[in-house]
Amino acid sequence: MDVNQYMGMFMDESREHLQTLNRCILELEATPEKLQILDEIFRSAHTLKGMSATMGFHDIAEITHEMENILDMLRKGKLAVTSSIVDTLFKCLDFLEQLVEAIAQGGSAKLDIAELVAQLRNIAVGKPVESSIAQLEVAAAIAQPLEADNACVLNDFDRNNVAAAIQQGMHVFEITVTVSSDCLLKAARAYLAFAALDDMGNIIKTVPETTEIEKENFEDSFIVLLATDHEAEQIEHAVLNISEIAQVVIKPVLVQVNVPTSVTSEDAAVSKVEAPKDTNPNAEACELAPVQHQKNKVNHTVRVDIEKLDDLLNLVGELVINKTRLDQIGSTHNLPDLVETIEAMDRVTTDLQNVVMKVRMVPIGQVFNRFPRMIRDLARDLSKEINLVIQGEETELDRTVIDEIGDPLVHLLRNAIDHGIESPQERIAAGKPSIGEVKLVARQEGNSVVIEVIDNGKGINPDIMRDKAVEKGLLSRAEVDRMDNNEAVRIIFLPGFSTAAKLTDVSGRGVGMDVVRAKIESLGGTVEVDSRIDQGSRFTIRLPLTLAIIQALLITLGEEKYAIPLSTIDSTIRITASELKTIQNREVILLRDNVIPIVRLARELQVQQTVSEEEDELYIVIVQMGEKRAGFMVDTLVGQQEVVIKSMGKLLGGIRCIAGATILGDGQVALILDVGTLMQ
Amino acid sequence: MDEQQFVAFRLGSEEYGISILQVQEIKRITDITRVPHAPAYVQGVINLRGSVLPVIDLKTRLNFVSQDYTDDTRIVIVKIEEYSVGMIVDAVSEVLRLTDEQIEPSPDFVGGLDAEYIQGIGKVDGRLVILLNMTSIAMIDTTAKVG
Repeated sequence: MDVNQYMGMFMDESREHLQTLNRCILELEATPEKLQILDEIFRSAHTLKGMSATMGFHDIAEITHEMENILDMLRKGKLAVTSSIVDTLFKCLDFLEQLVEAIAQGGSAKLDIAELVAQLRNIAVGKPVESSIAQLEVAAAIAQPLEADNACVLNDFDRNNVAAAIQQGMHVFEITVTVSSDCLLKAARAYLAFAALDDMGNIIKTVPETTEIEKENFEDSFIVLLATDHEAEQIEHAVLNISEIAQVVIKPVLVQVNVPTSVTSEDAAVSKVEAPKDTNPNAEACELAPVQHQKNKVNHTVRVDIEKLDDLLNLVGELVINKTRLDQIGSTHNLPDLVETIEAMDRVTTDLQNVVMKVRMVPIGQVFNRFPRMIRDLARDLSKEINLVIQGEETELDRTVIDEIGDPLVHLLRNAIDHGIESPQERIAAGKPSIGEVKLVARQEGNSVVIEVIDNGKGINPDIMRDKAVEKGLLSRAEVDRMDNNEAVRIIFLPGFSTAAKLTDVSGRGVGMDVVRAKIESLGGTVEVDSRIDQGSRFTIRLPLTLAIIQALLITLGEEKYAIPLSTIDSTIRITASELKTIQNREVILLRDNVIPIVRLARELQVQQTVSEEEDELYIVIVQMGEKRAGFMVDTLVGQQEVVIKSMGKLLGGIRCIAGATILGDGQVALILDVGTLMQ
Repeated sequence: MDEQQFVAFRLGSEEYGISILQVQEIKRITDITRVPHAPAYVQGVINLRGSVLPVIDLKTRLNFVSQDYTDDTRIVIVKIEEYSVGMIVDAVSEVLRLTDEQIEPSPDFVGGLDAEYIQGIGKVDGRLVILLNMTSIAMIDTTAKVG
């Protein structure tokens, strides 16, 4: 089978499952008594195993298989959750991650998994449980070799079903059906095979699960466990009658009926319940239904190529531009019918936009999820005690930004832990609680998303920064002496600067913060640092919600039209020239008893002819960003309109004062102002 | 024999060429939106069927004296890697077919131009056509960006 077309999906899903595993095992470590977590871990590991086996990545399948054994024992209480088990599980995840990433790189790295597998097996077998449940394990051990011939792994429920069927004198077969490799409608063939088997008996179990088979999520073959009165040859004949079925292998399933003697009474009850069902093969399907239903709820998603979403967003953008155009035609030519229709259309396009935007938005939690594990390991390696607080993981960001923001955050967190948080001894000596706190906070602020990494460690010492910068030859002594403390702290972002006295493998490889800054700026964002000695540091990342369709206020300056994002606008006012005051050579106005600085946009944007300079009546747009407010002086207000933010390409990407461009209804390009920069 | 095609155009009295593989289309001059704080040679941005493209005044870029636009003025849309950029030229004349023998490697200085902007010199019927290297011409000039 050509697996390449499934590769992308496999990578995405594997990474997702690994992340779930990481998160769950962390949770398990914190609350070992919560068994639901084990179920989730088990489910993820199981899916991972199935996927990798299908794709032919046997190392991954083998590790997950051994993990599954242990997880199953934990789940059933045959093993207790100990730190050594958790560590081993984490080690497994590390291996799996490496294997998955190696696959992503195009190779299939040959890691030596033998030792790890042996370790896992030791936990499962070599270290028998101290408690009284040992007997049960022996029972399981007996059952194991009996099933060894059979490819499909039976759980207790299946085993009971098989036992019940055998007790009723039925045969139980494990039927491996192989669909010919050039078959196009594998799911349809599988369905026909199912129907044929269902007619002949009672399907107990399928591998993979029925829903997966229906979705064509199997390689060439699938396994059906069938309880039937018919003989093997009859079944083989019936299945081979279906076209494009290449091979049918039938093996009898032998479950030692006597093994679970201790639970005979229970077993009998099960078989009694089962008895009426055997007369009606459909009953089985009904019974399976709720279980499948539950599963579907968990994972009811479609994976879509991000490029297709980009296309969709572009098309919606075009639609909005044309709608605006129609709108203008309607009002210029005074066509009430048209205007009315467009209003109806407006609602639809607005909804459409919202949906498309939402589709592209991903909660930042996806990135944050992997951090608790990282912090735990780091803290352990560095013998520091750290409490990671994550807030606002539901904050949504465009998918493209999400993909890029992970690495910079890793850098910042690593730095916070390695350089920021002190060792417990130092902390106690400094009169701080021994456990350091690192906070990762995300929130939306107008048109941007703010992500903060805050630690309560030792902070950045501006004097040390100055000395280091001189020592490394990045700046001269005179230059650093002129800097105030805030500027000195910002030296951290200079290329080639690393504050670590000795290089550790944690951070401080000399490619730290300048890379972070470059990355964030390439995303159209900014990063700032604020630090107090002995109180800690705060890194603030501000990222735009890119590719968005936004509401904007159109204004004119001379002949030119500009758009101001509505989310930054507090209000618009009209003043007379006499209301302008000056404080320290800066023009200000008084608005509701607040002093608001005035920015003459025409001057800032180098507009040649402008009327507002001479007029007595002035239009002021009051903008707000965080706590800061300013008044932009404009010539006229055109009106509110929704605009599609278009990038201006690499050549003009980082231009000052301009956040992007948009196309107006008449086809003209209007620039969108970068309110944050203009306010400074 | 290897043959390459170039779109030939005029800047002042000189003839220039761009590899046809880089030319996306040729447009008449349209509304150009000025971009404040952009480098001087960036004339502004235009709307090309829903995308916003920067437009470079090639004469300013190559240190010519800029003139007003005429009926012959054209915007040549070139594609560099994945970015499209418009180049304002005085007139587009023809498509030239040049064999490798007709192309000479660029001398160090041609009419005061930096060698990095020039890919070579084409010789056709006694005419000299300066073949431009669009990748370095359209490259972001970070020093000029400080507004």
